[in-house]
Amino acid sequence: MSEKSFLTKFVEAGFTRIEILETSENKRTRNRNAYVVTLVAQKAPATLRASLEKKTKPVLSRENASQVLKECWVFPVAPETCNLACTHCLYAASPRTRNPYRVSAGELAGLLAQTEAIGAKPHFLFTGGEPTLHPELYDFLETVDQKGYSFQLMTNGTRIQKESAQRLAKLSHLTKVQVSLESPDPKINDSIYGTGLYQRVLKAVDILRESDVPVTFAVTPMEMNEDGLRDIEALAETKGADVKYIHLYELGAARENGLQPSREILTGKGETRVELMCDKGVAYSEGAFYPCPVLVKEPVAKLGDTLEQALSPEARRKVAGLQEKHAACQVCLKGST
Amino acid sequence: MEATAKTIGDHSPAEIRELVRCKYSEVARSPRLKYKFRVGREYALDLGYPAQTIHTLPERMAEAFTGVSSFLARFQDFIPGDVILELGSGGGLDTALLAKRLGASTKIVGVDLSLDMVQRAARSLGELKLSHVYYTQAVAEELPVRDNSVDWVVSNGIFNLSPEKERILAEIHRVLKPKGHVLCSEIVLYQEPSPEERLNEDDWFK
Repeated sequence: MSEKSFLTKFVEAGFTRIEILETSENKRTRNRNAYVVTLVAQKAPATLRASLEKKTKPVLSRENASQVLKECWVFPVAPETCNLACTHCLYAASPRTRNPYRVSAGELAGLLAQTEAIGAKPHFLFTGGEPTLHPELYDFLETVDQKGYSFQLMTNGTRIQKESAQRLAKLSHLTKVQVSLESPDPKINDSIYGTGLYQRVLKAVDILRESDVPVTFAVTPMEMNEDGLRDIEALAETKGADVKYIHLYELGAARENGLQPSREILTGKGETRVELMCDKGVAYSEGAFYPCPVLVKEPVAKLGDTLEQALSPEARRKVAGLQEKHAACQVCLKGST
Repeated sequence: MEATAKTIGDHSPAEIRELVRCKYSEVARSPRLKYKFRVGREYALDLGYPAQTIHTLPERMAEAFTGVSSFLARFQDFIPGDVILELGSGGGLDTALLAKRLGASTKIVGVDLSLDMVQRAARSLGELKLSHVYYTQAVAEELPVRDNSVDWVVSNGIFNLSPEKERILAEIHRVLKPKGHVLCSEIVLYQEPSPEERLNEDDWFK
């Protein structure tokens, strides 16, 4: 039994917070292939166990995709393409990165044709990077809207203008615009996003709300913003917005900056359902499919260039393998998104 | 292990458990014989058990020691009042060290699949006058312990001896209180064994 399979057994048996406390030499036997690990783990709360048990229900495959493919994440620009450089960005996006990739209208049409071909009607999530940096973004949203797919837009809000808000208001299948905000305290928020961003984001929220566009604050609970997290729901209420809590993944800038997730467990309104993104969806980024939006810059996670490939038995085995060993997957498994 | 025509792959989990039980009963009765794995006081010292604390215990406790790490004896996160269940308590070295360190408000239960081991450990209890330690014979796959009743389950090298690791973990999960903890030291492999190695009984105790 390897360390990996030993740890996996604890996850499967309903344990959480599994931590290796020590590794030491095997002095018991002469087996050179062996060493000793000491680990501690905690019996998971019932809600988390239920989510782990849920994992045994059928997961995404070619055969069941028409029913099970519920989400399709789309990156109109490359994940690292952004006009901000947030300290916790899992793609280390910033205005300094130079990735020329932009989804073409033909690519989007191909993506829609592929989902149609398998008989799926997923919810589209336009994310990034900063998706509004794509010059044709609003045309794309209109295309998806006309096809009758529900969809949402995830943005930092800085490029939302009155005109764009009015365009968004006309889209009948737009479920929400998710705007990132990390704290009701401008000082804390701006230490993560950059100077003046708190005001700019809230102004965008006001513009969207004036046009009656549904808004959700996306919040990533971390050590650096956990003071005041409680008040963000009150702020959201005054703005007529919802709150969605997002996990911190130790990738990209978050890893470089050594950021730690908040120890507080928070649940946003109506966000108690726990399902893994990779069990119900795919992500499309830079011309290829990935299991989820978290892993789109991880070459090992690439599932193929077509939706058909991304749903193949080989690709699904790859996803199951990642779930076992990728550190980011452990974040989701411990209670997710 | 006696030479036998059967390899490990031919045995049912229950048969493997009986082989392990026999082997450890043999260790309990004759710890100084030569085994394919290390046993005893010198081995415990080599793993880092402090000589001065081992000296305070009856010699027979360390003499039948077969754990894989001294971590459990050093671990500091237990708190007075905890109920601790040790799986594979063997000669009782870890249980006794914990009991002495943590004091009488802590309740410690050691279980071992070998009755000879349990009797060996229990003999030392009277000498130590530790009234808050209990030993009983049981297999980890089927624990005689109520649901949600234990703060800590601890073990020092038991999983590598069981073909039914999932059953053990399900039992640990069952007996732990909500948010209870498990602490295990275990032998693991750098590489998964090949199917041939897995079937070779000779390798079982290596």
